[in-house]
Amino acid sequence: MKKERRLAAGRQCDLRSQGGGTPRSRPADSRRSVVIITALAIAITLFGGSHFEWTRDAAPWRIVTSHFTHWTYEQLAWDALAFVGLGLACARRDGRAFHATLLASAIAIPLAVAVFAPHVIAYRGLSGIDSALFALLLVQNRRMPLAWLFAIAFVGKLCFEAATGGAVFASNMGVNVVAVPVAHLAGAVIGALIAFIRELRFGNLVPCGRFS
Amino acid sequence: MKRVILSILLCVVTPTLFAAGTLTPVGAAHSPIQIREHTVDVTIDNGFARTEVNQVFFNPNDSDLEAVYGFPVPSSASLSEITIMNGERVLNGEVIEAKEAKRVYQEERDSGNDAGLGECSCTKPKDEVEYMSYKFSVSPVRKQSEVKIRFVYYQPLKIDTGVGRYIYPLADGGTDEIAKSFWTRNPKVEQRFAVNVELKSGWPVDEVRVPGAEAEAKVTKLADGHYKVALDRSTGDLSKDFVFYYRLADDLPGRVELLTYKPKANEPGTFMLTVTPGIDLAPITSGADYIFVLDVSGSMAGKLATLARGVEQTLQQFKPADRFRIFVFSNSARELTSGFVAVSPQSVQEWSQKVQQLQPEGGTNVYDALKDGLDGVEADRATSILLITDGVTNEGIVDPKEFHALLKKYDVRVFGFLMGNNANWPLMRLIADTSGGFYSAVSNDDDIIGQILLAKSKITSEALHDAKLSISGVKTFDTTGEVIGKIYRGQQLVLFGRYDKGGEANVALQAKLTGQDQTYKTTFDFPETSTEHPELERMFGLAQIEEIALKEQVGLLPPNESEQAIRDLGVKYQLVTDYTSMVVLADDVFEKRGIARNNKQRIEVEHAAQSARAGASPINTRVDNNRPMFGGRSHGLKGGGAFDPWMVVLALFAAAMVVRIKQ
Repeated sequence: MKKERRLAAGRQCDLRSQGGGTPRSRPADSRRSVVIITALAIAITLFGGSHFEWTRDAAPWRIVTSHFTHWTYEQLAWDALAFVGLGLACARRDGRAFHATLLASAIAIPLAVAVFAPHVIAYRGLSGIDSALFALLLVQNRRMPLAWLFAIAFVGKLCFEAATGGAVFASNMGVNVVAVPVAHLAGAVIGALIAFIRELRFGNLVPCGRFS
Repeated sequence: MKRVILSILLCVVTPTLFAAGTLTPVGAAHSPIQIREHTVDVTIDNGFARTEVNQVFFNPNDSDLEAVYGFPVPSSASLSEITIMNGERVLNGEVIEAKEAKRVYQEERDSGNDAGLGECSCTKPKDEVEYMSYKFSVSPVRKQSEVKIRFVYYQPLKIDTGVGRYIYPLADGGTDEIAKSFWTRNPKVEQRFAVNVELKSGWPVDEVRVPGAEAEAKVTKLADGHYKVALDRSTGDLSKDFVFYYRLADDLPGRVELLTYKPKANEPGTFMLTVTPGIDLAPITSGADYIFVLDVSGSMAGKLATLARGVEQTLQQFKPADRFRIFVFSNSARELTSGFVAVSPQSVQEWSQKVQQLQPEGGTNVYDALKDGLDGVEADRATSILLITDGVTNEGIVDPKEFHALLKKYDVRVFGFLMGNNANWPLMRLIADTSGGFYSAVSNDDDIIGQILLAKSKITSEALHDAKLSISGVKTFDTTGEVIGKIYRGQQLVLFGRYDKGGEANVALQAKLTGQDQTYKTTFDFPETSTEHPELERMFGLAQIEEIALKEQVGLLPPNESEQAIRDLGVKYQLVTDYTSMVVLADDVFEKRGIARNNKQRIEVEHAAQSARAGASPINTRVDNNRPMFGGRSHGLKGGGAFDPWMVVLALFAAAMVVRIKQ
């Protein structure tokens, strides 16, 4: 049974990843993006503070920079750790999808907060992008072992957050700083959409190698 | 070198001295009285908290002793009950004039009879009572025996930007050097330390939190606005405050809430009116000047690191168009910066590091520092002063009237942060009120950075100016806090007062917003009779006392008149104040001495009301439902994504699998 599943996965292997007309950017570029964004997040959180957060009356460029700044070092640590792990995995898997997800979610998340969370006056954090990357990773690798388990846990967290209006594990981001479930939801939708769009255009880019 | 040795000594001594605990005279030959149990039961019910503390003292010596217990005065707390259970005997407290109470206690004690005394240095220094502290004396605690003491106090709680905060103060501010030379303190709880909080809110509560004890505290959610939190330890130490936060739901409206107590239709009633503005106060976009005035006196040892972090976090919030200046003070004041510094990532980093390097030393000369700060103001720019101190003003000019006169000369808002429990909040309140700013008391175990950021969000947002709350239609009198001056973002207004008869009242909040006159109105009924909240009378009495003390400080009331008025209010509402104390005696001794049992009657009424409320669900006390006073929400919140540790582990595991598969 396992063998059949592996074979089925292997049939959908994308040989373009071996260099034959690949629609993806080079892994080295994507890895560089992960390093640069992580370094930016650390530097901006340490030295930039509120100069980069998104607020309702802020300059439009802060839509993008809001992801790099954080309320606390603890929030930065967890968000950055997740970003590095997910970013490297996504970048290795499909660099263009990774970059597209970064760009789309960076813009869409603060806009979603602006529209669907009217009580929130300022936003910071990489976790919306983390959610987008997690969704991208899970959809693109939905045939890998335990993928359904990860998906259930992730979707469960999103649903719980949406239902309760807060984080599953209440994080300490300071007084009057609340978790914004809509940021995670928007990120997840963007990540999943990009994975499906890529799949429709180029087929399922299951990695070649072990299964092929 | 001397300074280094003193600093080391201070650090070593700090944990044992700076706390609530039993007090033993310095040099006493006997072992200190032990605290076997310390349990705290808190009920937070729609705008005010009732705190009941039960303690068991044990005398390990072979002779009878007097037990003395010191405890920092909680913010706006009205100490209302003391009960002592000494063997078979139960003693209850009555508030009388302070000197008389002390005389009665000493006579009973010297005669070998059971007696107790509750005193307070609430706003003024007092012999043998630590500044800003309660002192309880119990005599005798018989050799190798236990005695139980129970006390109760009430305090109003405000919600700030949707967050309620309750503090059970235990840590001593370490600011009263004289008291330290009298007493050594034993803060250790030998057998059981427990805190139980019941939160009953008429509005949904999204989250409750006990900073520093998140893992230990057992939280039970009974309903949307009903929580129970329990913290239970086999041993404990009364050197750290217990802090409890609760966050209301995000989308609550601006509102007016009313609590009343009027047992008889033909007699005046008491009310507590809470107004939570629902007004969009936008961030200030133009550049402004901020002057930090930082206390680096000896008592700030152990708090300076937190102060430095607070300054750093606050500096990071400023805009590039802002400027800042930093003054520090101990025995005298000096400027750390040289004139105003423009905000940039580099300047923030540079000056944050310089603040981190500050060393504590000397006394507390707030006046000189404030004067230097005010002299540095440039008239053409909006300026705010952020004064951060823990101290009792003990150097230079200390007369509150001089502070009042100084601040009246400038158009500058002063925002005060009081660190620790023995800080001089009456003076800080005067400074804040005179300048149109506000002050915030911050526990050492608090989310201090969060509190500073919360204040920062107020300073950098528009405020309502010249605010005045008026009530017509129902005759009200003796109201406290009608003229508010400024209302900052997220602030709640709490008004205490008395009213003659029930009926329809028109309530209006008039204020200026960005130069335009604004009026917010509503109409609701004051009840003809209501018996649910008799505790309001005590809180009203205390609010009156605080206003009188403030008037005395700024010279609007002569000290003798102020003293008389506070004494009368203390006896009438049975409150322990600077001039009234609670003497704790057996019923027959009260009768023998002819002391009226006013407190006994009050307590009976309060207990009956509390029993009736105990089983009930949280009640929403909003009164402007039919005609809302405000159209907007009560507060805006900041948001962030929280990728919690479990989700990070899950994501990394999934990522690792994908990478492994690819390999």
